[in-house]
Amino acid sequence: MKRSFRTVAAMVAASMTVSLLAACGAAQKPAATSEVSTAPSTTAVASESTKPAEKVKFRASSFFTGGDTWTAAWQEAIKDFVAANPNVEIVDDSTPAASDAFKTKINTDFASGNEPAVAYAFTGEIGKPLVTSGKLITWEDELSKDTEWSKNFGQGALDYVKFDGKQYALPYIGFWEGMYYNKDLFDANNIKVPTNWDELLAAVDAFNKLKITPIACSFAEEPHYLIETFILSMGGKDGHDKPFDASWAPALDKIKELYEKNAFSKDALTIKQTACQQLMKDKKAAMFISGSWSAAALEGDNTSVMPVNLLPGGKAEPSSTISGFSTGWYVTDKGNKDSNGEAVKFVKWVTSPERAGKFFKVGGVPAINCQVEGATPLFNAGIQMLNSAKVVTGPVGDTMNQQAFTHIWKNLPYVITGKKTSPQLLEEAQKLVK
Amino acid sequence: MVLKSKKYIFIFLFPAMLLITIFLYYPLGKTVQYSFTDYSEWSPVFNYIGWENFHRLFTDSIIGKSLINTLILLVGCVVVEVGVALILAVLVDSIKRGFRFFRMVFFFPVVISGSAIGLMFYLAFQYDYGLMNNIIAVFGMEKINWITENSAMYLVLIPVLWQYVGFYFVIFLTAIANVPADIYESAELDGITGFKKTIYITIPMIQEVIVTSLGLVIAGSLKVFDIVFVMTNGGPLDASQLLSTYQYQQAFVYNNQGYGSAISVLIITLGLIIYIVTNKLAQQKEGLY
Repeated sequence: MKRSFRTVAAMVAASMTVSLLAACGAAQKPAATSEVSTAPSTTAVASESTKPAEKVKFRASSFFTGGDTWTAAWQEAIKDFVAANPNVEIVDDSTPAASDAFKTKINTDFASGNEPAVAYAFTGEIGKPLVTSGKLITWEDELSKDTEWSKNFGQGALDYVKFDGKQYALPYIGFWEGMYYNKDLFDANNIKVPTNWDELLAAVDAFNKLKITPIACSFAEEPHYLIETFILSMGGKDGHDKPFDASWAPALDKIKELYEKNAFSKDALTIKQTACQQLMKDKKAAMFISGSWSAAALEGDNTSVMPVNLLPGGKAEPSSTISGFSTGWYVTDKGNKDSNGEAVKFVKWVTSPERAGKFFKVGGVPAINCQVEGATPLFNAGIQMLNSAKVVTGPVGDTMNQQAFTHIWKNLPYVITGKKTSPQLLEEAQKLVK
Repeated sequence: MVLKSKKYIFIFLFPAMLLITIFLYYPLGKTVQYSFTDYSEWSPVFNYIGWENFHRLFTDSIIGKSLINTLILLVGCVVVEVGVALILAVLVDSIKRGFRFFRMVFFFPVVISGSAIGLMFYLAFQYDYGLMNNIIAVFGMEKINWITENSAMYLVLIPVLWQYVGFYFVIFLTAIANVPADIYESAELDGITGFKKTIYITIPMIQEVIVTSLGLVIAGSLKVFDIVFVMTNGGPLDASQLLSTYQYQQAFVYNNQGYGSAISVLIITLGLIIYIVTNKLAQQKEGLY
C-alpha cells in the first residue's frame, strides 16, 4: 500500500515539478511577477506582530550551517523575521548534514524531549522518527484556513512529503540528482562527454592518462547518489522503485567495474564529500555525481549537469532523473504553544514566495510557486534537465528504513574492493528491512 | 558525635550523588535496559528480545575487528603515552634550563580539542590537498594514498598518542618533583646516579602515580572517539573501526539503538575487566618494592 502510494506520489511530483519549474522558469523573466503579488507579503506578516506582544523565544533546527548552500539565506531569514517581530527571539540550532550529524542531532533531540519548535528536516522514511514521536503538528487546518498562503504550494510537492496520508511537513527545497561535468576539461582535452557506457569508459581512460580524477566520489560519506542513479539507469523506474529488484545487483557491479578501472580518486574510500566538490571546482576531477545542493558551490566554473543513464543494458529512459522533496518544515505542538504560535508564523513567513525566492536563488527545486531572480546557468541547466525528463522518481533511500539503506551505502566499499558480492550485500540489507 | 558528623557527610555528598545518578547511573541503567530490546529508528515502541543483541556481538565480524583495533590502541596508549611521558618527565626533570618551556610544549596538545586534532591530521594525510603529499611533491615524488586499509589504524594512533603524552608527562613531572630530595642525595653519596637513580629511586617512588595513570590510560583509550571519527570515521573498510566508533555508527547512523546499547555494555564490561586485572597486577608488583 505504502509502496504504491510512493509511486503515485513520485509520479505526481514529477508532473508537478515540471509544471512548477515551468512557472519558476517563467518567473526568472523580469515581466513575470503575478504570482508574487497574490501571496501574503512579508510586511503583512510583520505588521500583525507589531502589536505589543509577549516576548517569546524558540529554537529552530536545520542543516543550513557552515558551508551549506542555504546558510546565508537561512541566517538572513532569521535575522529579518526577528527584526520585523521584536518580541521574538529565535535560537538558530543548526547542525551540518555531513556524516549524518544533523540526522543524529534531530533524532536524539526528538527522542530525548529536547525537540525544537521548528525543524527543517528530512521527510519520508528518514523523517519517521520525528513523526512517530507524536510531537508534531499537522498542517492540514492551516493550509485550508489560509489559502492565500497555501495556494503557493504545488499539490504534488505537498503530497510527496505526506507520511501515512498526513501533512506533518511542508515541502520547500526539492532536489534533482545528476552528473556534473567540467565542460572545459572535456573540451580542452578533446574528450567526448559520455552518453553511453563505452564513452564513459573511454573518458575514464583519457582522464586517467591526464592525471585528472575521472569521477569524484566519496564512498566514505555520500555514495548515495551514485547508487541511486546507477540503480535507476539499470532497472528503469520500475526496477528502481521496487526495493531489491533483480537489477540492483548488476547496477552495483557496474560501480565496481568503474572502481577497478580507476574511475574514482585514489582516496575514494576515505575522501570527504566536500573535498570531492573541491576537486570538481579546482578542475582536478572531470565528473561528479551529486544533487542540486552542490550547484551553488560549482557555479561559475563552466560546469554543466546531465542524467546518469549510461549503463549498458539499462532499462531507464535516457532522460530519467531522480528528483523529489525529501526535506520539509516541521513544527512541534509544544514549541508552537510555548511560542504563542510564532513558530507556525515563522514557517509561514519563510514559505512565502518572496522569502522562498531568496532561498532558491542559490539552488534547489522550489516547492513553492515563486520568483527566482538571478538564477545561475548551472541552476538553469538543472531545471532544464528536470524539465526534459520524461521519467522522474524519488531516491531509493526514501523507500526503505534507514538501517537497510545505510547498510547498502556503508558496505558498498566491500563490494567494489571485491570483499563482498553485490547480491550478498543486498541480501544483508534486505534482512534489515522493517 | 560520629553520627552527627556522618549526617553532614551525607548532606554534602548528596548534590554530587544526585548529579552523578541523573547523568551517569540512570543513563547507564537505561543503556543496559535498551541492550535487551529491539529499540531502533528512535521508535517509542520497542520489545524485549532477551540476549539477541549480545548473541549478535559474537557473529558480527566488525565487532571482532573493532575489538582488535581497540586493543591495539590500548596497548599503544599504555606503552607510548605512559612510557614516553615517563621518559620525557625524567629527562625534563634532570635539566637545569628550559624546564617550563618543555613543560608547555609537551602539554600543549592536551588543550586542543580532539576533533580539531582529527581534522588537522586528516588534512595532513589527504591525498590531493594534504600537507604530506604537498611536501613530497616538492621533492618530485609521486603522491601517496596514506590512509589505506593497512595503514589507517596506525595513522589514527599518531594523533591519539601525541595528544595525551603531554598529560601524563605533567602528572609524572609533578610526581617526580615531590620525591624528597634527601633520598637522591643519600643515593648520590652511595654512588647511584643517572639511569640507576631512575630505575631504583624515581620509578618506585612514583609507582602509585604510574598505576593511577595506567588506570586513566586504559579508561581513556576505551573512550577514544573524536579523533578517529573525524579522521577516518572508522574506515576505510572498517580498518580503523573502534568499539566506540562502531557503537556510534550502530546507534546513530544505522539507528539501531538496541544493538548500539549492547556494544556500549561490551565496552563498559571490557573496561572494568581490564582495569581490575591491571590493578591486581599492580598490587602484586607493589609488594616487590
